[in-house]
Amino acid sequence: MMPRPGSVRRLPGGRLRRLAQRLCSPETLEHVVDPTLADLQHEWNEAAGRSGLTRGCVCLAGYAAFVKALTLHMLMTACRHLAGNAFGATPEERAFYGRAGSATAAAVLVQTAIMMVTSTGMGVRSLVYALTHQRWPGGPSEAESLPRALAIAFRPDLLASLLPSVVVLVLPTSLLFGLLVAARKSSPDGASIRPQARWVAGASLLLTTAAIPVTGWVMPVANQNYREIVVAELYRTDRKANVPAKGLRELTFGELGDAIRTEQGSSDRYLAPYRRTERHKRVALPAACAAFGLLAIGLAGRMRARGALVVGLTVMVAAFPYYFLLRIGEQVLMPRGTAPFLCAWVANLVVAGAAAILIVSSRSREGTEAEVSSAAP
Amino acid sequence: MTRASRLPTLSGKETVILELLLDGHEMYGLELVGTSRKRLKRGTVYVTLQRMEAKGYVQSRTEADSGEPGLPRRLYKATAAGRRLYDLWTMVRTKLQLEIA
Repeated sequence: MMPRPGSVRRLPGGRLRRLAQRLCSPETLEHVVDPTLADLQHEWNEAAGRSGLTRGCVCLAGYAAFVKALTLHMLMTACRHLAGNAFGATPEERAFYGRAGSATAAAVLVQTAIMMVTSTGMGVRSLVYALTHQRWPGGPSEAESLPRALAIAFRPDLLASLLPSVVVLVLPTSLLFGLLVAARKSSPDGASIRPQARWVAGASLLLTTAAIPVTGWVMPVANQNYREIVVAELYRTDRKANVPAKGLRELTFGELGDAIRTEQGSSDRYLAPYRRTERHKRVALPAACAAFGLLAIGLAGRMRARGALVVGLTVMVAAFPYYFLLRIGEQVLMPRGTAPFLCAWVANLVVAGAAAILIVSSRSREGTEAEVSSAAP
Repeated sequence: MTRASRLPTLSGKETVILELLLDGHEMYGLELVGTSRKRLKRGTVYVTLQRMEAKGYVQSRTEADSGEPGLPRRLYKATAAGRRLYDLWTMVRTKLQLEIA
């Protein structure tokens, strides 16, 4: 469907259509983009004699519908693609995705185990300190502190409460590891099967979508459980008799939203940036899967025939700045009044930026290699 | 059960769209949204229509040049298969409701 000559430029949606022409398939353009923009433009024409505010509202409603339609369409297309080609179209692709899936799962297990041991160790240390310095009657003697701390820290329900936050944290780097491990093995003809951008985008999107309910609802509840168990054990009281107040990380997505709305009308807004950053973080953490998926596309060409050690080191090199920037966003940028969005998303943005540079440079390198090989006698 | 042998079904939105297109009139997305009394949303209507067209329940064409500036609208109408499915679907649903009540 072509726009009528000389008409689209003056109407809203012209730029959006040009952008969509670059990104969308002709079918999507014909059945989703053009009809949505046509409605917007006709509505705009009908509102021509009305006030600027009315025309502005028409535009906003049209743009919102366009974004919603395109997002929904992309989600459905990605899910359909995954359902149709979940394990690749060719035997090589199926082998690649099989390796990627199993390596990702193994990485999740190993990293979760390491993080659980580290977190439990830190928990034991804090518990020993609390038990040794407690000022209430009935506390253990100094010699009893360590065994008691160990008994608390290794309670199965306490370990289970740690699990959601640990898994969410290790998911992005595990995905990167899985994809790179799969990419390092070459196909029989010697060419590495690089992760297809669409497949990686679909998988990352699915992981992100699956992780958002965890960070939004499961993780805060688990964190609060953790605190309640520890407090009940320390004070030797009934768990529900001495419930500790919820901190930022114990508030669910809805509770954070309520707290932000409540404080908008009050004069005490000290916690406002912290709450807003925390809310952004609940989406930014799962979205890191998408950023690391992009990074895998950029790095895959460089992993051809490399050893597992190189892959592991590459993941560590990528993971360290990510976690470092997460802390920087939270502990350096936020107290200085930086926008909450930036504080929470800075790590993802940097990783995605680095991935974009790597993808562009690997594409140009492949182009040069292809030219050289075609010029060779 | 293979995809081919699955019974055709209608979602809530698809039922509303077929109901509005039953009389054979051609309608565009925003018109469908306007007449649906808030049962359809303009952000989802074209995605649903595209899916219905792929299933063969509706067919579409580009609007002839009306002389108005802007992109031409896409007009949709129910196919015979769509109308038949709608009739069967509403009949089955009514019977089921009666049986359950």
